[in-house]
Amino acid sequence: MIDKIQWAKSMLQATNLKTIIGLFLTFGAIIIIWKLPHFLSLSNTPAVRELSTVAQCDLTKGACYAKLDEVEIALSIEPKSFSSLKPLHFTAEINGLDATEAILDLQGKEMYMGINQTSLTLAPDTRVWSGVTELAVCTTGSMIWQASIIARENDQTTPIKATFEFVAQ
Amino acid sequence: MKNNTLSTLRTLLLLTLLLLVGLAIAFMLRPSNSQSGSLMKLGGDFTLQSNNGPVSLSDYRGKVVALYIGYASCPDVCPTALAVMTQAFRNLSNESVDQVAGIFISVDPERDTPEKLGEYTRFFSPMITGLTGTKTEVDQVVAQYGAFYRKVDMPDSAMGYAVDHSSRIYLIDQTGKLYKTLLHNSSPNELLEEINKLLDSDK
Repeated sequence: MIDKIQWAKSMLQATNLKTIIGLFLTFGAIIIIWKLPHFLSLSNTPAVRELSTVAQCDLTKGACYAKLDEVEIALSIEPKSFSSLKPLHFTAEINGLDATEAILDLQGKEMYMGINQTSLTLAPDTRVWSGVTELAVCTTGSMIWQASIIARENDQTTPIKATFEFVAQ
Repeated sequence: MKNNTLSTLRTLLLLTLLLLVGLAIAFMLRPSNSQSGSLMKLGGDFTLQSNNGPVSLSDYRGKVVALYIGYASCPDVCPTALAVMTQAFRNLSNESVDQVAGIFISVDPERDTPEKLGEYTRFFSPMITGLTGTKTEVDQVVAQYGAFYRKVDMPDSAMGYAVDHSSRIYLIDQTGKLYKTLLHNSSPNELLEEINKLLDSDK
């Protein structure tokens, strides 16, 4: 008789445990299903807002422009003969956006050339960001590079990106 | 009847659990935003082979490390970078010499054995250690430091092939973190200045 009571008690405890786990998992599933649209909308948020370059542009002749709505970026590089392993001074004027951070990202157009990022510095009381870097690769022949200026107002806003192309030896 | 109900409940619980785990894994593994507007974090520990056995970056904890990635048959940029490092090391004060080291990583393990690299780096400075590894090991370090290299066939040359590669001096602080990268054309004095900044910050 006592054994039967013990058995009934242990069955009741096991059933209770299963019920608790079941409730816990159901609650978790409801939370995830409730939050899923939010997660999906996050992943659908564009990583960057891409600016379009204005007309044909040749950085060896002067500044190039890119625009999206009210935001405009003008990029120039000095000196105007672009060679690997020689210092290049990049200047980006960013209008229509109160950027607090701007970086220059250099990539090969047709091949991966490593990570070449430079943090640009804002000149006081201006919208002009600049930095010195180089095409830090020892390569054979000339190739097309892409210089992207990526800027943003703060951590919460979507960064903007303008990409310009140039050929370097 | 009761057994059937329990069995169904168990199956449902298991499926719910799998669903939750799957969703959690998918969310954690979602692609990260590489264009978040912030600089990508580079650097990190590695272990490669020297002529005296395996060497890890973590072996240099407490020292400032100047790291260069190239290859021994490199005609100009690698010797130039190693010469800059050598000159900067020569200009260190006596008490700083033991707190600084140089590492040269070859991306051409086919030709650069650890023994050959030992000879090559000794020619520049005893403070520089030559390292290499299997292609997989070298590729891992190259990726960690945001560098790149590519074999370029040169059928008309006695060399057979050259290697296009990134050319930077990576300056690593006493904790093993990448402090900054220096332009290829940096002078020995500029490198020395940056090394001394790190040494002074540790005092």
